[in-house]
Amino acid sequence: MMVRSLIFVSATSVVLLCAAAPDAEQLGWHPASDAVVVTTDSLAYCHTLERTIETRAPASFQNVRLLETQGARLCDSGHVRPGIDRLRRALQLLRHS
Amino acid sequence: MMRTIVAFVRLRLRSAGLSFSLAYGLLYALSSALFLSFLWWRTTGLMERQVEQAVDADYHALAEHWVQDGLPGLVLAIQDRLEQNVDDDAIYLLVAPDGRKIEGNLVSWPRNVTRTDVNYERAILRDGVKATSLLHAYDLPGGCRIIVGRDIRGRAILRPLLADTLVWSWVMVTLLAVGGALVVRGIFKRIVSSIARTTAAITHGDMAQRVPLMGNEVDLVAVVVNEMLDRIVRLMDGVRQVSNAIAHDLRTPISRARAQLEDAALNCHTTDELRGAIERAVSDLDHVTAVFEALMRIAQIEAGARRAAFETFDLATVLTDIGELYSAAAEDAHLTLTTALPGEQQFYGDQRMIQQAVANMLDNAIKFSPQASTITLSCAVDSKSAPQRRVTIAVSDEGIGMNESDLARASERFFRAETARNTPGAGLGLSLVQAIAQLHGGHLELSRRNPGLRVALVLPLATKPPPRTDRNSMTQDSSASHLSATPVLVSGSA
Amino acid sequence: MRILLVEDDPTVRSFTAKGLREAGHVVEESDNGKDGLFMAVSENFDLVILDRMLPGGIDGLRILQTLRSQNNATPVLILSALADVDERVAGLKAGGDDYMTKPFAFSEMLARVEALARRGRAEQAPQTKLSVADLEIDLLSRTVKRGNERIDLQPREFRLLEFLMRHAGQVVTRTMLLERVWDYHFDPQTNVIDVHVSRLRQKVDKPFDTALIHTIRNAGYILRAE
Repeated sequence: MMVRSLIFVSATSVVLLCAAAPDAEQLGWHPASDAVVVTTDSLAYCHTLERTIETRAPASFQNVRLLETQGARLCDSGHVRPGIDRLRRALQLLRHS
Repeated sequence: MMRTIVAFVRLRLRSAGLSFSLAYGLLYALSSALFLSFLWWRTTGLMERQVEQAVDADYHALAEHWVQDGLPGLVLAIQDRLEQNVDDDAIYLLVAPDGRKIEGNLVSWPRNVTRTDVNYERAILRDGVKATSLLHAYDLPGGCRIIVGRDIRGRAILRPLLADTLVWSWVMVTLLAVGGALVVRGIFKRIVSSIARTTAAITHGDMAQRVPLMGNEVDLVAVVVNEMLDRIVRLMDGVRQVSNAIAHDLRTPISRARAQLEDAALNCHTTDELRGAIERAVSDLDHVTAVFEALMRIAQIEAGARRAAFETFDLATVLTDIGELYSAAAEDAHLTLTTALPGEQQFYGDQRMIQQAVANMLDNAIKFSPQASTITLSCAVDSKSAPQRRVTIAVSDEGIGMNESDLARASERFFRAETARNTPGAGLGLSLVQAIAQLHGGHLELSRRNPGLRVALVLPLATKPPPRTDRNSMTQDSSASHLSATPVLVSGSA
Repeated sequence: MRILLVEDDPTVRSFTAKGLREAGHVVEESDNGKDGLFMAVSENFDLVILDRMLPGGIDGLRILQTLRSQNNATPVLILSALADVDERVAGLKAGGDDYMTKPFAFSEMLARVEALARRGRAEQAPQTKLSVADLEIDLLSRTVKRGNERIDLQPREFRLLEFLMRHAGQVVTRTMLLERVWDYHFDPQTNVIDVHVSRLRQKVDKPFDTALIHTIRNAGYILRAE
């Protein structure tokens, strides 16, 4: 009697833990062929943003320029996403000022 | 043999302790698993809903641009949002009715994103790195379609992290539970083994052992076990005492009868002599039978089996009848028997047993009273309220009485006071009265008078049968109180 | 009287049978329950003496129950080594007419046997008056007369005399008196019965020339005209 209830309890807890654990399916690790490319991570988008800043920002906006330069440099050296991040911040700064 | 039994008992105890603690540990592990799973489910669910709400709000804002400024306004809004997206998680895709991409940061419409009423979780490729996104498609008026989504890479990272944390904390909790279970098992084992050690010692014959008290809840068991042991010791003493007494008090008349018969066989010359010897032997044997009968009766009453014959009857009538039966005998012995009885008194008990008890008390009084003295049979009810109400049936004489030490031993089986050695009797009368008192849940009171003795039967007055559940406890009570076999002593009133 | 004695102990059986024969009865013996039951149902007896515990699978109570279930009203005296009050009640409930515990004195048994036989006859005609020699009692008016003289008795004394009269010419033992007149089932240590009988004698015998109540040594009393 005792042994049977023990087995039941342990089995239940294992099942619950398995249910609780995240599985690969749910996290969406699909094969690369299925994945859609996000275009705003590209060097091209980097340049688009640079051009936008150039056209909108007067030369006197030193902070914006600084961020733009940093972003452009990061993009050119291959760090596209950090670069885009800088450029977006520059644009945000530009809007708020 | 005894050792094997003890070892077997030990083993059973051990496994009992183990399964007890195992069950405790597993229960603990199970409940913590349940709790942590719930926590995980709630947290991830909350994160998911937040993203969904953000996506939906975003779409409604864009739809407003569409309504106000048409397609160019919407395109501008999307561009603007992508430019300002410092969090780097926004995903948009606007396509024309023919499927051509108008604006957005997805390269193409993902396959399998068809319905507009569900959220899709789809893989995306960001700068060559796979990530997960939550996408929601909407139909715009005019045939255009739009996807609004979010990169949920953060959630995807957080979720296994959270799961890991919870799993690990579950492991810790389970380890703690197992540890606790082992501790509990240890405590359990210690408690039980202290009782087992004591009882094992008792089974080996060491009657002096007792379970040590530890000052905690275990004492409840320990005290009961100790009381049980005390009782066993007293019972064993009682058995020893009675068997000694039987050996003495039955052997005497049997050997007397034997001697008489042997003597008659060898030395009697006339038929009359022979007949006389045989008659004396027969009367000795009758005495043995009477002692046996009294002993059996006492044993039977003490076993509590006689409560079956309980009924409600008028105690006054019963006592009056016995008084009448004995008054003649008293008169014959030149004594006066006076009675002080109520007109009527209903009583719940065994009528025959009460008759027997009172007859024994009167027999004793008549036997030990000097000529021209008075014996009083009285019955009185005390003034207490119903449940504690008691009736006292007393027989007082003006006879030789008893000294204090004899009083204490008077109801022991076969006890006979020194002064009573020469009167006939087996010394069982008061034992029987005492047993009858206890059968009725009452007790026997002996007190000295000057001169004489007062023997009182104090019985609880229950006119109705006690509830059935009471029956066992009553029998137990009466047999338990029997163990303190001394009757209640009332110090001499003189 | 024709008596069936079912008793497995040979000593007790032969002793009892011998005594009963000497007292003028015809005794058939059986040493086991099976034969005893057969004899009891197939022959006519005036009395059956049954031991409660018998070998052969059929005990005394079974025989008694079988007899009674066949509407056989033969008086039955049960003998038993079980002195328990409950056992006595069980025996009487099963249809027994009297119950004696072993060991017993033969005089006691003989007295009870005679009493049972008498009862079988007496029950046929209810009486309102009993008389022995010149002693006469009226059960309705509860009066006692000896010769022409009226005797005043206490209620209990009347019942004692009534019992002796009903068993006139028969020995009645002290235990029988205690059981039937007082309805007590214990052995008093004192001679209470003797005292009551002697009081009765004071009233019934003492003032007259001849005594009717006699003491039988080692047995009890008998009421008879000499």
